[in-house]
Amino acid sequence: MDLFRLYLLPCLFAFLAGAAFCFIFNLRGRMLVLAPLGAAVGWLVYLLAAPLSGDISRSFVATLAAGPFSPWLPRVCKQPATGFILVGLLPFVPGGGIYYTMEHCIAGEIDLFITTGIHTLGVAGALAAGVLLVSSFMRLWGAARHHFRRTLSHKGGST
Amino acid sequence: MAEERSDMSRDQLLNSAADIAVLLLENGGEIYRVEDSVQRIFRAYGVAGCQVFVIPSLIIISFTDGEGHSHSQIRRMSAQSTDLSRVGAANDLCRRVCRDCPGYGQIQRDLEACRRLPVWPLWAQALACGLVGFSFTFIFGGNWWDSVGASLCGLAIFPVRHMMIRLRTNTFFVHLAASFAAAVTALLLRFWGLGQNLDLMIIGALMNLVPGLALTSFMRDIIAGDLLAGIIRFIESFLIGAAIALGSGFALTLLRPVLGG
Repeated sequence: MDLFRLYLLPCLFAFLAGAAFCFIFNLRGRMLVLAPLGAAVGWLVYLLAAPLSGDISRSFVATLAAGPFSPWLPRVCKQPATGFILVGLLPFVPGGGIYYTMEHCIAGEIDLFITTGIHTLGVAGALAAGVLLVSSFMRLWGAARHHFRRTLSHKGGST
Repeated sequence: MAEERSDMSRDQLLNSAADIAVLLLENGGEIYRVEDSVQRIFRAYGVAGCQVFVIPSLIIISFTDGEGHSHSQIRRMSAQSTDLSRVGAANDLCRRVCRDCPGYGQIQRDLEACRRLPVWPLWAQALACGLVGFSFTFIFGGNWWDSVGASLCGLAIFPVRHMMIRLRTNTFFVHLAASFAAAVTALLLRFWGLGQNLDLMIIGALMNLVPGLALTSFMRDIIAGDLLAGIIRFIESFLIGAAIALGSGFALTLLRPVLGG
């Protein structure tokens, strides 16, 4: 029961949120199910990464987990990777951070305003760093595959 | 195939490539995807040395033909939206063009078909905005009543955003107004006793507005070497974040003394 409440239910709602975003971004067909999967898996990893200190590193790890979906699914679905990355990573965009920064600003708590603002920037940076790693790895993987396939076929042709 | 290829003049080729590039960019395609697509199209039609430069607000394509004439085209982009099924369709069209080298008329017909692709009906999009609010408030630790309140705030966001985009307001003001609407709705709901956690209700609804595309694609642009485009998108995401904060901030400052909370 605890497992259900603490892990399964949030992941289910992350999936639902991703599916709702598919309607807003006009994704259709199989993408309606496949793109939100990235969000659900990412959120599960985010929850499992609770022992890591601070939610900046948690967001980073979750981004890395949601990322690997993006190289494979676009090939299967014949759709650009944009949708998978966008929907998969949306739960980690620091909407809460933006709000609390603003709230501290209004309340005149300058210390908290600055701390929360920097923290929000940090979470956004973790997201960007995750995208950086995953996308670079995708490019490297694609280039390497292309390279090896060409050398292989070249050798096959010459012998 | 060869006859079809020959009946495409250089200017028609330039026009078609620019049209496809515009379709990709205005619906949320990445910079490298646009540049790559244009270069592939020109290569498929046997034109070497095509130069493309794309930033989120501008497309420049230029090439010199065999007789030494230079052709170029500049497209200024105004509003961008996110319609990923159109990006997918434009991507498919680009592949088809590179494979079959169709004539000008065929490409224009296909482009028209891409532009006519259906979008989800407005009520479905509005419900989706509500569902986003509901789900995120629940995920962030709200109870069921908070989630229901957030879904109403999400529903309030949609018509405001839709009207603002219809009226061709700038991105900053669209997000400011929508976030204001969400915060006002949340304050009213709490005043009437629905939902306890005002902050969670507003945050859940605001997840509808966060700059997801700009934030995830600015890094991808920078990796691909499009530093200028990356910086533009970074600033865009920063401005949208500021607009969201300002909008809900105005609502809280103005209405808290009246409604409490």
